[in-house]
Amino acid sequence: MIHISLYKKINKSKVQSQFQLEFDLGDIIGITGPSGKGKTTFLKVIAGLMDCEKGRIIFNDTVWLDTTSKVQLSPQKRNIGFVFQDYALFPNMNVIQNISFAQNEKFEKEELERLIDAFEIRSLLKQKVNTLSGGQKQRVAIARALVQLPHLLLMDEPFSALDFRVKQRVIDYIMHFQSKHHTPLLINTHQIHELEALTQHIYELNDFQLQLLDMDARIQEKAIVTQINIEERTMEVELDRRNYVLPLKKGVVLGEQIHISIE
Amino acid sequence: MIDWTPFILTLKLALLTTIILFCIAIPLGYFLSKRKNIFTIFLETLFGLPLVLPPTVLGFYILITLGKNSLIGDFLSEHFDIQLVFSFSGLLIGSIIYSFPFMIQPLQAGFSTIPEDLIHAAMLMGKKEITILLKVVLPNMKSAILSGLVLTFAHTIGEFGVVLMIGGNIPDKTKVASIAIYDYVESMQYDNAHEYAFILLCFSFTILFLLYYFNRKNNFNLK
Repeated sequence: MIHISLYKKINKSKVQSQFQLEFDLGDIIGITGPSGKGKTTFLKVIAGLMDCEKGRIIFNDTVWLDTTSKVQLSPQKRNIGFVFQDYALFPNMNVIQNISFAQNEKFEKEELERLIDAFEIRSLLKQKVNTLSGGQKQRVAIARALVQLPHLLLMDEPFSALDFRVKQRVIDYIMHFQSKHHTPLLINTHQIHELEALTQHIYELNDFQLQLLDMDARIQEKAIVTQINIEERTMEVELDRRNYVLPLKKGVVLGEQIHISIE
Repeated sequence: MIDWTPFILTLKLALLTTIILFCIAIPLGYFLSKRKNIFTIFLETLFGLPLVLPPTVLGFYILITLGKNSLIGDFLSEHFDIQLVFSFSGLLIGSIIYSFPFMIQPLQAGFSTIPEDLIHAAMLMGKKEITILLKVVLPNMKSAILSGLVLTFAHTIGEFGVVLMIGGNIPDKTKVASIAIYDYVESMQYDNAHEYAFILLCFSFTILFLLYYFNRKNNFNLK
């Protein structure tokens, strides 16, 4: 069982934001919400990279943080795999050196080969990371976090630069990794549909606290785009013979089938 | 025939100063780049003083701090039979103090260009501070390291005021190239002074040229 209870002022706000979660080993937790509300900050507090005003983190009976009794385990001792939003790959190393630097000796060689193929990075192994595209860097960053065999995986916008096909392969591998190692996983993203493929436990960080989203109330439906109004930046979609006006999505074309959430 | 002894002495002084300063400035620069408070600002000001002070002021204070009638000078002389003033060791200490900003400032700037997330990523992999420094931080600030090393080396070669105040002009001991030039000019031996000056000019130009060349090349490679 992992218990997290954190209080921190975000972006010089006068009100403390609350971040309270309880989950089990093997759980995948999605965190969404508008930018600037503190999603990244809370992940960094969990990792021990930032302080908070008040907080408590207990990981399987081990106290990582307790501000009351002034306990704070160093980031080195928490064994957390972290996928940073800006990837944080080491520029002086090539791809395989980045992965090897993080690799836990218990992470088997065959498993590494499988991961390299699943992430389609075999041809990039000897390349310096500065020469990679955003999507390639993101895959290397996720691979690097996984080979660490962490106790807890924290991912900050981990799929933002991946195209649909590659994203699916990466998610498939993460699911396989999850089922094998039972590593709890916290994913931050502002794109809720990315989380829906991974978990039903989705929370929203808004109004200074974390709230569980009622997924049943957000049924995803396929609707057809019937009209596009570029000037007003809206689109009209048809679903079950009813028309809805929604904000215009980038790249949408007339007649396209898109997913929409009905509250 | 040119007497190469002042040049050998100059190179020895520059090399030792550079090596010692590099070892001191790496941990100190790392510390200063990580913390910002009144104490670190005080240290930065102190280390930057040789940039603005006339060398004679610095040389004078070193002279009275390490001289025979000083606390440190007396202690070293009585207990270890070491005399720092007008000796190569004293010259080395003076050079280290005088060239300090030329090493610490590029290194400190280099440390502060390393994104915090790189260090955080390595910490979360369980790496110790020293491993992070050697494997992640230093390899990603090669330009800063090169600048620190070359500027310190080149600056020590061109040193005059502090060297004259602390070391004097003792042949084979403290008479470095810049002092030798001064000596020749004083005794109106312009031909000899010209030879020495031209060698120093070419040497300094080559060092700076190589520094700019490698830094530019490194920057292009990073892009």
